[in-house]
Amino acid sequence: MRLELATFPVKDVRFSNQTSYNYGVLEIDREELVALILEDKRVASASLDVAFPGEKTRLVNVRDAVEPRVKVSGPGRVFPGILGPVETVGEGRTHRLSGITVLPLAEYRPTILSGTAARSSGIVDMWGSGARLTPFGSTINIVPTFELVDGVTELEAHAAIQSAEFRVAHRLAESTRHESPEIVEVFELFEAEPSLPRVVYILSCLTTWHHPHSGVAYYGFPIRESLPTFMHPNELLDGALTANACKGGGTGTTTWAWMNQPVVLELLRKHGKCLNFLGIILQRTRFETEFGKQITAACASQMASLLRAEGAIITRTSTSGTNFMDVMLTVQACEKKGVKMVFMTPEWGGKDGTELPLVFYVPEATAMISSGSFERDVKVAAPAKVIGAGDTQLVQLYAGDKPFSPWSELTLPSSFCITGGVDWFGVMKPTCRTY
Amino acid sequence: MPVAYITAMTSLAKQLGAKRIVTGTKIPHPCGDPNLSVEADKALRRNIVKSALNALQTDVRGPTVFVPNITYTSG
Repeated sequence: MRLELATFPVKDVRFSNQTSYNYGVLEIDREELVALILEDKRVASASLDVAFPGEKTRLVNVRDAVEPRVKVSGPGRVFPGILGPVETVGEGRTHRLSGITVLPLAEYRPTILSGTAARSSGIVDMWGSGARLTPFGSTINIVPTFELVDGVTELEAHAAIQSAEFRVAHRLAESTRHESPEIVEVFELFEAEPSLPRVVYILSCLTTWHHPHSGVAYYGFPIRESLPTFMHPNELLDGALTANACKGGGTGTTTWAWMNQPVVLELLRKHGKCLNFLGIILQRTRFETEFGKQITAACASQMASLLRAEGAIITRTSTSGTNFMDVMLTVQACEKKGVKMVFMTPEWGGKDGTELPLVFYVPEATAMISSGSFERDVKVAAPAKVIGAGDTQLVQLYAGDKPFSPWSELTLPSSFCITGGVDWFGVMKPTCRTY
Repeated sequence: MPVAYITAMTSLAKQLGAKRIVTGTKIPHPCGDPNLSVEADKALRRNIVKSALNALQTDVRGPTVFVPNITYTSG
């Protein structure tokens, strides 16, 4: 399975009467894209804007994020099972527009009003302290803003928001189909030198079986109580994993994060050079019994062991403590089978970093990487422009939170108020100093 | 005073140093299982509470897990 990932960097975006890509300038036919969104009868009204890094603009009601990609050769389509039939992807050639993100800013009447199954939204600031906490603070953002008709269920709302963002992203990427890329990277798990260390990546994800959408979908299929699944890393680059588009809050992951998974990309780039990348064990976590937790740990570690992995990297995707236990138990089970583990995760730690950073640990977890704390307050200044809410409209991030005006300066209680604000995979560059 | 701690997260309870840990069914409902019939659920609940009462009457040194007879209907 060999995938050419061709990158078309976007340095500027302009509105025009056609959608095209020329030497780093993306021209957008706004009317065409708005009409595309309105094709879905679940969408009542829509508009489209662009937000540039450095502008004092705040985006609100952010529900997901996606990078424009299109498959120009090879089986399937980007976002298989959603934009096309279920066909194994990760082969052929895929074009991507880098430096821009499509962020859907969507409003609808929710049907679940409280609890963890309720929707969430995030904010994205294009300047200042908020912008530094998310990858989307430094990309040019194409922001379709739309409202859904009344009477949609949560799952329909997800499908409508996702369909709008994916189709807009796909249309933008289509503009590169006959253009020449600036960079082409080739990703392939070819036969590597046998003396290189064998490394597998255990991608633990939190999925909630009792929510309308479990949080992570594999080929469009929300993962519920499954046992670990083996994946080729190239599949992620073609959008085989997608997020719940009703939950833009930073506690979880966006679709963008699955497509730009830094651990996967780095392991692919190092394959055959300093290690032998065996593939991805996609592990469902957040089992609700000790029994289930032990089973997922046993199953993932057995898979790693049967692959003859000498080492594994493991990460997770949610602020949930129960999911943290599943991952720690997997670290323990793998180490006991002789697979050396590195666990990368953000930490708790409290407002000033003096509280417990981890809720559970095992003695076998001897190599860990911190990608920062998500419990610190985040102070953000008042914006000059807000996209995604009217002048007097209040915004709510998580069910039960007090709605607030997005026009004011804010003290956010956690970086998970920002879409992409919790760094699950080490994509950002936080630093730490000792005094 | 002896304490029996019924929890679905026994690994965490052990780490916290709880002395008498009783395995409960599931995080959202440690003392029963709504997937079961009313009679079976009642029997399970009785079984878990009995296990806790037994734990209270047992001398232990370090963290000790008492496992009632539970047939799990889901993970």
